[in-house]
Amino acid sequence: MPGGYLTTREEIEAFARRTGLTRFTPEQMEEFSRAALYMGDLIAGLPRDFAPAEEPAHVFRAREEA
Amino acid sequence: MTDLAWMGITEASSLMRGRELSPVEYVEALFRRADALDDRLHAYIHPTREIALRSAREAEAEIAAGRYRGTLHGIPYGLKDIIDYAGVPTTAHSTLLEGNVPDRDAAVTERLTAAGCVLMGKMATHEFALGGPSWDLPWPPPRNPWNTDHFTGGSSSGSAAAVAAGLLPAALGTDTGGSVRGPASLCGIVGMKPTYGRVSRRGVFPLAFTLDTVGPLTRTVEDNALLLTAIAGHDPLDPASARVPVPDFAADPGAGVRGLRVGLIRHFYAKDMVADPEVSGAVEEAVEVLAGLGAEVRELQLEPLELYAACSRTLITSEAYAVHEKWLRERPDDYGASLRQRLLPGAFVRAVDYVHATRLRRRLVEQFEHAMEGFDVAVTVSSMDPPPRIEDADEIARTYPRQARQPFNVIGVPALALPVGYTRSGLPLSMQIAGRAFEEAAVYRAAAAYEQATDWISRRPPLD
Repeated sequence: MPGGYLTTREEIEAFARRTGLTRFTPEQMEEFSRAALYMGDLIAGLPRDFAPAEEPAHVFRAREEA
Repeated sequence: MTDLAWMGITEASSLMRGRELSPVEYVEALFRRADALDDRLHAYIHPTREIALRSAREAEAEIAAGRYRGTLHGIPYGLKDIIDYAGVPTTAHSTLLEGNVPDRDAAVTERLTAAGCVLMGKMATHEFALGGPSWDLPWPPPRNPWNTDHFTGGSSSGSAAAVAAGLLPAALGTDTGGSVRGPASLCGIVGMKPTYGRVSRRGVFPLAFTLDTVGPLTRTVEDNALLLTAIAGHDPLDPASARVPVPDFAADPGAGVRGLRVGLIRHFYAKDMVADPEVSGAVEEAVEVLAGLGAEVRELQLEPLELYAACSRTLITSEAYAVHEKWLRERPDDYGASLRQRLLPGAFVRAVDYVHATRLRRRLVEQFEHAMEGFDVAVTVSSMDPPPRIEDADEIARTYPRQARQPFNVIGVPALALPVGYTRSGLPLSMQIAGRAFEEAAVYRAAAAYEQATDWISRRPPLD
């Protein structure tokens, strides 16, 4: 299932509207649909076997004075 | 005296300091060359002749008055057109930023101006440093000086084309997934992606915040080291800027590699992806040269290339979508198709996928640090294939992801691309040398030794 959660053209068009992408031409909506398909390739290969406490490589630091 | 088009920074600097070369004559000669060639190359978006001539006259006067600022005083350079120079348009090669004129310099621009450098112009890029080559933008894509039917790579395309063609001795680019090293590789020059945080990104249009770096493109390793020394350093206004000392990376170009421990990441190009034989053969020969110079070469095993690529794709697509979401909502028509198509998948990436990518990133960083114990630098290919033809969209689509540059963006370490030969048809071949975080000096040491032991940099593209 592409992207894991969107399968039909109608779902993809509804998703576009919900996310504010309302100015697409029909050709751009076609690009958006292809992007939904590509999303599956994009994240393929990402492991999902992380331990609960396995930290992201985030960079947030609280200021020392905070 | 070397032809001005091919003069390196060190020689030009020495001549200008000795008042044997006028900075103004240097700038005028390079603009004459650009006037003659850039209709074929399309490296420049916006030449800054008035600024260049004014800056060159100031440099000439200061040097004459004994106020010599250092090796970069009077040296011409170009800026990828996502880097700000006050009063000069920054377009990102896009309709979306036409008319955008910053009122402040980027941090790197400030540093180069303080060093006395002379801005020659803003250079072509892939639109917003992603996608391309594109044919539906206000400016055409640059052409490869070694054969103008071929692709320059991207996204610092104009910067690389101009340096390779002898239009400039140096230029700055940006590297998020390989965008300095890719065009450097395809155009046969030297390109450095420094450690993440080594060079300020302030005043540089973002592509992906956690991956973006600014790096120099030059024809020689020593020139590259000079540029990086000038632009590196802590900037409190860039939240990712590292507070670490900056050595003089060009201090000892003749240090050699005797005893240097070199890890060859062969599995990237022999197993994870199989490189074109001309590429892998050139890299293997280059490693033999390093070994012949006294380096201790052993194979180095990292995680498979695809794992880095999956991490990089997810991070770049998510972060770039966040940067561009507002314009994708309001002005989708103003994007070129290539960039729009690369941005849109970012709408579908779930938060959990992004977090997993950052968790993977930490794993990859730790694995690299562990694997590098006992090594000083790592060597591998840059592009898996020689430069494709620029109008062969299928071949560009096939070869674009076939590269080994993303790993070093994901783990944040320095990596440099340099020429290691030419294909039978005369197109450049390249390898990468990477190092531990903030150990650019070791990378330059290995690269300089290789460069001095070979004569690739003496070749010139067949333009004249």
